[in-house]
Amino acid sequence: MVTESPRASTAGADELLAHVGRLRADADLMDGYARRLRATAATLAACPAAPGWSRPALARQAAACASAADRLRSAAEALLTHARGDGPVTGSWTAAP
Amino acid sequence: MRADGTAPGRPAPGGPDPGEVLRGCARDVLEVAEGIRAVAERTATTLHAPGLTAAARSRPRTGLAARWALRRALTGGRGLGAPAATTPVEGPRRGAARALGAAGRALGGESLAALVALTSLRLRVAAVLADHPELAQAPGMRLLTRALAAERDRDAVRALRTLLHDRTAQRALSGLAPLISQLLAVRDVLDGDSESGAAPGAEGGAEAVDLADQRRRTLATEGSFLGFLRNIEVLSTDGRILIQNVRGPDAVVRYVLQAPGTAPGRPRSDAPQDLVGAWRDLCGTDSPYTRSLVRAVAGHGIPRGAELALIGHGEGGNAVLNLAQDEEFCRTYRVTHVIAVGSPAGDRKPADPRTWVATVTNRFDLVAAPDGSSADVGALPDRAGPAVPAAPAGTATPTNPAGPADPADRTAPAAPAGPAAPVDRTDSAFASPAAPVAPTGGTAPGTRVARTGSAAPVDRTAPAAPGASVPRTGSATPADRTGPAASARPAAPAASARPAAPADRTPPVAPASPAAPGSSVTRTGPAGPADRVGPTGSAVPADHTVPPAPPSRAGRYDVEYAGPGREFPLCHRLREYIEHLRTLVPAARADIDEALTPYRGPVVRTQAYRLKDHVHPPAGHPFLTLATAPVRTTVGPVDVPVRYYDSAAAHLCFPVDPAAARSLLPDAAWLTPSRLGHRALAVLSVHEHRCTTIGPYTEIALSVLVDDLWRPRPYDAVTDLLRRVDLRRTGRYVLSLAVTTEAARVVAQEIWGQPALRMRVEADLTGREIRARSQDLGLVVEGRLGPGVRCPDADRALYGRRATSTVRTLVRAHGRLRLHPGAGVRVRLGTAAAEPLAGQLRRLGIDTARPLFVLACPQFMAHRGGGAVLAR
Repeated sequence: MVTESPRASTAGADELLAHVGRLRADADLMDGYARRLRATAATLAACPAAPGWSRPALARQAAACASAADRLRSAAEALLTHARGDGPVTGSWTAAP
Repeated sequence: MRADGTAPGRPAPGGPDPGEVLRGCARDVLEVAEGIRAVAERTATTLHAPGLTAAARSRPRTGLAARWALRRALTGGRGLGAPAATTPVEGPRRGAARALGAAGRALGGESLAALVALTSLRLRVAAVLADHPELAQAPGMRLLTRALAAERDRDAVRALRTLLHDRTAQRALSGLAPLISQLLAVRDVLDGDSESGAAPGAEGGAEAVDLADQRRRTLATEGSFLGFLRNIEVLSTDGRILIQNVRGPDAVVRYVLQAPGTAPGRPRSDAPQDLVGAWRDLCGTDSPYTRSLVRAVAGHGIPRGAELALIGHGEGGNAVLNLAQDEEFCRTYRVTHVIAVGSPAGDRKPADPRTWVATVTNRFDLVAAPDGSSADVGALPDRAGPAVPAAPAGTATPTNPAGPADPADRTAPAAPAGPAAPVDRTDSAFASPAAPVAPTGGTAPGTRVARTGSAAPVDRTAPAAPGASVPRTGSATPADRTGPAASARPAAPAASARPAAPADRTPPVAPASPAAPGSSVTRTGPAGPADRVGPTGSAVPADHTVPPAPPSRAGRYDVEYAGPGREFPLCHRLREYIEHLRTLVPAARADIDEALTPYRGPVVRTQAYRLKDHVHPPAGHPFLTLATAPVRTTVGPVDVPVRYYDSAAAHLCFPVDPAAARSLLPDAAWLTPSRLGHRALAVLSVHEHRCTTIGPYTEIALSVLVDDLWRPRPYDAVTDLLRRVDLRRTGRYVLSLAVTTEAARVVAQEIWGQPALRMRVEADLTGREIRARSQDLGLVVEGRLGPGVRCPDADRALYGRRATSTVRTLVRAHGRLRLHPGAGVRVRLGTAAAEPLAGQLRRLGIDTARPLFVLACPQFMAHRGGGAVLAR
């Protein structure tokens, strides 16, 4: 019969929490990418040689980045819920800066 | 017209350069794409993390929810998209991640990173075309724009992915110098699977070969910088290099290795590879080219420790710069000079710190300075692989106090690193005031020269540079020779950061000669009298904006100038560089000549070597693996068979009146048009030759099918279709031929006996829509090819006339020829269309008719032998 030791369970929870932190940081990164793409679109608006398709395409992709950021946060929450049930997790997780 | 008086699409006066804005945006967007890819990979890693998998088994409710949320973030419609194949997941999970990505793509969801990378590449293409509209017609650019022009983004990503893996397209793509770094980066984002080029340590080889008499006669017999460059030009770009033994002014025999590069539109000596592999081969220190050079030097019998100068153009410049980085090579021989013309030099440092490195770059040469951005040069090898260790920009390199870092440094050079050369080497020549010094012109205004090392007195009585057309705009200070660009730039490190050397107090030199605008000369290290900063107060023309000088590097002499024309690939040609060094930047030429003083003497031995690449088969192998022989022409010897590595063709076949066809043939009774029923057959052929041994060109030819010259039989034309080309009795007599290059005209006329004219022709025959236009001829061929069927290769026998004889040439082709109905294609002839082609088309009635059928092939290889002269 195989039993799971508490120490192994704690290690697994820590690993999951590390993933949660990375997911939240990546969500913030994706928000940053969305902002950068919007800023690039704004720069191109002032450029006479910019192709007409470029601004809508960048706006579309910025929206996709923001959407991906939301999904990453949702995934982080789901993973955090799972991790809380996996070991002694106390307090709330703060995303890495 | 806008309120500021400028047209839409044009930069506002004083505003930022639109090309630069687009490039900046493209870079920014690419960074975002790479970031998104990294996020996707991390998310995939989390999804497949062993901890999560194990925990999900023990508590499936929350575990499965977490995994579902992660999967949704990756593969949902508005999520990150499928992760790239480079995900760091290991083992069997890597396969799962790959399957996940493939499934995502199959369901129509391209990764967000790929879509953003696509936007970046599109912006970069727009930037390149804004600066270099002539590149729109380059074969690689056409392939790329066609792939990027797909209606939906995800289709464009797929087309791009396919294109980047298409080996037949690599040759064309690798010609897109300004886009290479972007293409490699986008390729990484798309799928990350980079094939390596040559295996590390790939073997190269070199075999001594004789040069044709005509080539040998044109080689320089005295050592000089321009002489060496002209030798490289004579060598052409067919995989040969030259090593010359030169007896210097001090009677010491030294060696000069001269390496040509590849020219756009001419074949490389190896087969096209994966884009990354091709670029690694170009830039890698361990590339077959570089290793072949080592073999050639070893085969030449150069004694250990002997002094050696390495000079190269384009890819050859790259190879010699790589060679100078080879520590073992530099231990064996004393590499005193490395000179690269039109090569992306980057910050490569030679293994021997005493080696003097000079680079000459036309700012508009996209091979040497891709996209006009020196940052790209450094970035390129990094993207391609770790082969080229590029020093970080701005790294301060200690000045080289020992070596002859400057041409004017006449101090004795340090002893060779290896064992002493078995030559009586005295250093007196370095110090000898009698050493020949070429008359020096001035540095062109705007010329930037970066020089390092100590300078020594040079008594320059500089007359006005011959051919330098820009008038002097300021008075020269004594000992002040750098172009006005340097002085105009407030913070030109080359000019301002140099400590004054005592030599600056040597007697004043004659005023520097006029210099070309837009060039810059940067020297680093202690300034000497040779460091004459040019006429102050002259402004750099607005269209020759001088970018900041590169950081100082030891042992370097970097010349960057703006040539008169920015058309690529014209500005990459060695002939252009030679002309510019002669007329536009004569001071740079003189400086380098001075540096080469030990090599300026009679040439006592010349030996050419053909480089061999043991790793890759030769280009076009096995179809184009042929024995060749040079044939003398007025443009120099031409190797026949002429080989066509990458061509496209459309043959428009018209049934015509036999009498009209006969009237256009020469007045010889034995030349009769073949009849197919009651009609003869005329063929209007359009060829786009993108890569040939005589350079790229386009041609339009009108020919008529003719019977056997001796024993015409009624159905020869039909039965010949079943025969091999060399057994055919019929052939096509070429009535008119228009080609776009002088070399092609001369070859067609002098070797094949065809009546060729040089005309401007543009053709695009690679898609279903074919189009050819010649302004000079007043002729347009355009239309859409309908459904087609495969048919045998278009081998053919062509006839021409030379004096009173007929010349028969066999053409063998290998490609995917297809037969299409001619209904969708038409010929339009302008009212002022030029003779003779227009008249012949009218007499045959082709100007208003549609072809019966079209034989088209978007890509094929071919070779044309020398013409056999027949007594008819």
